[in-house]
Amino acid sequence: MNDQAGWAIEIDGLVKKYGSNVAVNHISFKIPFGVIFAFLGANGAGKTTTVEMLECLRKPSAGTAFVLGLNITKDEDEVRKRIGVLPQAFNTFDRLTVRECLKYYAAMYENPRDIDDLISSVDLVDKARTQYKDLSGGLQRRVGVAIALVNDPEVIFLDEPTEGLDPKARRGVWEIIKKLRDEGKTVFLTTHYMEEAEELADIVAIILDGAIRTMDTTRNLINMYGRKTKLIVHGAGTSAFKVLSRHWAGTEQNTSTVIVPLADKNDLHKIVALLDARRIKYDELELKKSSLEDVFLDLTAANQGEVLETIPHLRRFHQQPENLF
Amino acid sequence: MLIFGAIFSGNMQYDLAVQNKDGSATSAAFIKALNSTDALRVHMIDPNQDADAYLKANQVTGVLIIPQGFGQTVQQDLALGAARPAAVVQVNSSAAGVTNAGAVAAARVSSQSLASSDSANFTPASVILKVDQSSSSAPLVIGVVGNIASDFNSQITGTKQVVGVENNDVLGSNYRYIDFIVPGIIGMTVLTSGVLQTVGMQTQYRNKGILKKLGTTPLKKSEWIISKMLYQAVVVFISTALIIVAAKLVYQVRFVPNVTTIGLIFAGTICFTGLGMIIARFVKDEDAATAAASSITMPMLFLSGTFIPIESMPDYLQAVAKVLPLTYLNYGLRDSMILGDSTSAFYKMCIVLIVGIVFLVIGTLITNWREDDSPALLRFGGPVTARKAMVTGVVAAVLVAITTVGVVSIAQGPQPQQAVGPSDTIASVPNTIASVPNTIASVPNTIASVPNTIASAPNTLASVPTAIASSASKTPGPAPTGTPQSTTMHRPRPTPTPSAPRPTPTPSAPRPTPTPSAPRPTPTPSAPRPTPTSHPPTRRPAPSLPR
Repeated sequence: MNDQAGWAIEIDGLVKKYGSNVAVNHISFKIPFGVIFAFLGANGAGKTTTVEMLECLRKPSAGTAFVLGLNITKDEDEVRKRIGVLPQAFNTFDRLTVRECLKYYAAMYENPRDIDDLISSVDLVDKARTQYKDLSGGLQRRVGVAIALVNDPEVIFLDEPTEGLDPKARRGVWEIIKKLRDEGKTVFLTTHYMEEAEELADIVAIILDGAIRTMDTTRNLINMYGRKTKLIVHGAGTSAFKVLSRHWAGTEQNTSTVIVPLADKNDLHKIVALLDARRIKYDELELKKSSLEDVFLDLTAANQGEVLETIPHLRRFHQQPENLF
Repeated sequence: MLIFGAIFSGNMQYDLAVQNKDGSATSAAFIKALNSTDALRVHMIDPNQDADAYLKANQVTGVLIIPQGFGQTVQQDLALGAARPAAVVQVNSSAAGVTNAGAVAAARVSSQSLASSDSANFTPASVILKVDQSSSSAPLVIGVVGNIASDFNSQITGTKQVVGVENNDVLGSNYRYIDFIVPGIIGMTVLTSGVLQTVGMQTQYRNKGILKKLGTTPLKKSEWIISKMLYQAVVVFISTALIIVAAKLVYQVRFVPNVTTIGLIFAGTICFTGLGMIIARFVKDEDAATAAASSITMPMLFLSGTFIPIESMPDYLQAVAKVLPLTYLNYGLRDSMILGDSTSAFYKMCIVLIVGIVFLVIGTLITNWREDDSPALLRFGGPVTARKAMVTGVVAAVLVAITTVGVVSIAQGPQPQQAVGPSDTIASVPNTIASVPNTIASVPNTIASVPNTIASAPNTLASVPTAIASSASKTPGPAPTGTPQSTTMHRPRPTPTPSAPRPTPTPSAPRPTPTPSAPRPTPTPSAPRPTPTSHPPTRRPAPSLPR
């Protein structure tokens, strides 16, 4: 191990080219130990290519990367022994049972985890003797997570772990991922589900066209790039719109709904008082906070440059960000 | 195995309808001669029936018409006394009644007529044989009937046989086509398991993402490929055991499995698993994988002596067969399981093993489960097209041919002096290896020379006119079939009349593949025939393949 051992993952100027196509364009960041790191990006942005390079499935065209202090191009064998991977669209041998699958992969490592312990950690005790092909999608994904944990890795790569799962199954996988972070493991999560990243991630990086657009904690990103919290007044008419738009810039009307951007939490009380004073009736009030999805959509918009220029607080970030740590 | 055995293990008999318009004692004797052979199932039909129509409407191979006056003509010819010819009965054709030449043709059988010294008074008694020439059995029936007529002639004219052939079977047992084909079925199993299953499995695993997951583990590519090869070996050995059990229990196939057999199967598994890995490198989806693998296995299956002896093929196909590893596997298995020639089998095993190791190494080197960087030209995915399958097949075929030729050339080494005796046979082992098709020529005579044997082997029907021989009591009765034969060669048959079509191929036709350093195997006149109890094949020294 070298002096990069202080970081779970460190990437410096990583590039991946396929002919003239640059899939990953000089990305650099560091990830500390014991966090859930979410790597967000649209389809084709370079997420999977980046993570597969870190998993030693692809060789970088340029740049360096270290996983647990090990060079991914020079210490591949050692890296593979110490990481766990749940690939995108995971699949395994149909006719093996859950237990047999885990034993099969455990045989590839020198010190695998206890199989029974592993099965119970992903809550598959009742399905231990069931063949993989007979499991539901959610349970199959849990088998994949269990296989990724068979060598008790320090860093786990989960590529789209809840792709195609129903909400209940997705939440089940979320709980397992949180448990991994609580055990001190570092989870590198790629997803295009914003709510998943918002729910799980401690750190989020957004990649667009092979380059990192931004990287920060989830809350900071929402605070920095998110839109203002909005109050939605349902069942209000034109009179409400006229009154509210006079005091709050950016108020919009959508048929019987009036949307008011709030500058601070006091605005909520003021709006309610004003509506009562003018005896303006409404059905319901709804607070809509800015989400990671709003951040992502704003940062990855097609006319991104224009968007960033028109949004003052984003203007200074439309160049590639420096390392945050 | 059960299907092939059911088809090829039984007695080969041909249905012959006979229309006796004569009704004389002579015609009855001739019909009795026809009945006495196991090769024909004689059905008597109404003399007034339309023979052509009967042949078209029924499942018979031919219709033999004994015309009215047949017996009288024979008696008249026999009454010529010293001037009587050697043959008074000839099998002839008649154009009468033939309306559709494409469907029903009156066959001209090689006439047995001999020139008579009293040609002015001699008129041979003719029987007319009508066959469906579109049937592959037609030449066989023509040959059988012709030989029966020949022996009938000998018996009734009292002609003595002055030249005989003594058959000595070195193997001491009788072999059938089923004995020839069982090693071929095993070879086929090794081929299909190795290539088709490997290609299919590898493609399936890649598409399902299993290979990608395995690529993230410490598992090495070579370990994965060897594990696949060992898995295929287990499957093949189980399949082989079942084939052997089925063959022995159901069809009483006689062979002696030995260590060389096991080695050959293992070497074949290595060879074809490696070939499968190479093909799998170039195909993406499972449909393309099946097409690509089939484009290799199907031709190899039929060109490697699996079902059909190589020497019965045209020369250019024989040349192709010599560069296919399955050829050496098939014939090595026959050497080991049928002939008991462990030395020859061992060297064929070495060829298959070396080719297999080359394939396995290439397959390991070019397989890349971690990053898909195969050349675009060779990266097959999407819809299966004939072009993709053909390109993959051509690439794999060229690789197979180059590798096998290279290995065989190296194994052949410097040509030794011409082998003369058994010790020289051992000394000429490299030639033995290289001359696989000729080496095996002695074994599959039962199959290879079936049509030829009928046309040219008088001993084929040595047992046929037993009843006639007992009444004539002029020549010794033939030995019962099923035992090593020792027969005397009769006076050589006259060459057929130019108008008589020869059944093809003939064993006496010289093969245009010279073997300058070793004697060519000599076909025995008593080469097996389509009767169930075939003459045992004769082993010959192994000639070398041409350089």
